Amino acid sequence: MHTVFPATRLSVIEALGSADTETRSRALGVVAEGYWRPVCAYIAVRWQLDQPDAEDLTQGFFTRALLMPVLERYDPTRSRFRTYLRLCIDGHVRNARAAERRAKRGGEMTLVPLTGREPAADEIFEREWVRAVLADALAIMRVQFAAKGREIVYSVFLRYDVDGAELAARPTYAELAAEFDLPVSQITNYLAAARRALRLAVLDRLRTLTVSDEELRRETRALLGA
Amino acid sequence: MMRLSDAMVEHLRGLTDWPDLTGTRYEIRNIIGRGGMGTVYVGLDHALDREVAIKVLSVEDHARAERLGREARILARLEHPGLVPVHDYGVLGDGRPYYVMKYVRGARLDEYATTAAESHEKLRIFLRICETVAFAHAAGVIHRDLKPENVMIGAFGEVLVLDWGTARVLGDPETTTATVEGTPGYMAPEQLDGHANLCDARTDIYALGAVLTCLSSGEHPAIDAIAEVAAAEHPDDRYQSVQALAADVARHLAGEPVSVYRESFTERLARLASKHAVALALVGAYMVMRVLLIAWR
Repeated sequence: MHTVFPATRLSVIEALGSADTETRSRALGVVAEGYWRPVCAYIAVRWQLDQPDAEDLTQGFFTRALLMPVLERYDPTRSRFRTYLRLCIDGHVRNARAAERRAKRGGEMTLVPLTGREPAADEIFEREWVRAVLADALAIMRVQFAAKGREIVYSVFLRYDVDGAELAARPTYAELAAEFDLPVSQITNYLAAARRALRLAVLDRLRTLTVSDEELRRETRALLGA
Repeated sequence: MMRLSDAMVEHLRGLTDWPDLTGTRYEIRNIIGRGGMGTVYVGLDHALDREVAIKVLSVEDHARAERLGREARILARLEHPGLVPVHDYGVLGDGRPYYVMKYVRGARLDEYATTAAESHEKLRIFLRICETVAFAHAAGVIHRDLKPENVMIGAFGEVLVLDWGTARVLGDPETTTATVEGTPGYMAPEQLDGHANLCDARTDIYALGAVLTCLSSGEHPAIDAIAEVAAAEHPDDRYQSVQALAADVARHLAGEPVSVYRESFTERLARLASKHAVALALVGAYMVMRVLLIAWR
């Protein structure tokens, strides 16, 4: 799918406005691929919905985006794409709630907006967006290392830097070396290689999700917390 | 696809920014702080077996990379006890530049000023800042982002002016950017308005006035007057050199009148009494003795 929009990321947004249904569909696929999970998580948290209802609304949002001119109205000079997308989602959910009220059907999903005690909408969306970008980057890394026949590098990284982040005390290099039957120097080399790959995968993912170099830099800074 | 926990997300975020110094003599140990341009780490220089500070650009960006390189070159060029010495400069495998400098343990001035320091001590620190800035001005370098957060008080009392990333080198068009850079509250009006070509030494003098206000506001009318003149809206109304500003602060510390404040008669008496406190005490003691001797006879 990336080969369809290789030159400039703005072309993804431009393609969303294409008269050709297939082109629009592919462009939306790029956006949906990158944002489906943060959008779903955001809807679930912001509107206090369970996972299936949030997934339904997310699906509805992207379906509507395919049928109606929503995302192609984005103006890169006015805001970052992520901010615009969040505003569209809020509008979509509010409309869904209004439609539900009109229908007055009992027993269907109830949308409860947040009370203000929870994190701000932007914060929720950003947190879920960061989570999704990092998860996607890990998936990219796994595929890349597997393609080179170096699954072991990803496994060591997963054990130490991903699963290990959950532990009060991460395993030592010596423990990892024993576990994977490798010298300690190999463990540190693998970790260094995987960390380099992580940065590249994250930047690659962000490049897909942003429309300009300036936005890429801003989003990279946002992701790094810099 | 796996759902990452918050702890995993935070750890991976840090790793994404983590510089890979494989193949160099340095090893990263910990983060010291993050700034607008990059992250500063404490690291180990294996060759010399000493701790160093390493500033690394966070995001690949040509303009910022240029700026980081320029900052390193400016610091390398300006050798002064008030500046952190730069040891090395390089580029990571992923294209991000970094430079290595002396690791200074200490406290930022904004933290230091709230926890310690009597008024005179803070003014002495201010004079040390002025010395460094005046030295840079003499070398044709304007800092453009002076503020308490960019001053470090070292463990041995050294006063270091940090973060020269927004510095302008007079005569160098590359550093005369039209972009508004600096910190609101410390930026001179000409800087806020984006008139980069109008920024000169007096732009830093404005910021020094704001720093002085931050350190000693309300402690003495003469100091308030000095700060007010330093941070005057129009550059022509400010002190015209850092030396002139520092001279007034030094005069105040020495108990002498300052050039920008006309003191009342009682203030003058109080100042003189304070300046000559020891002599007055001796004269007073002598007079008391005389009176007692006369009374005894």
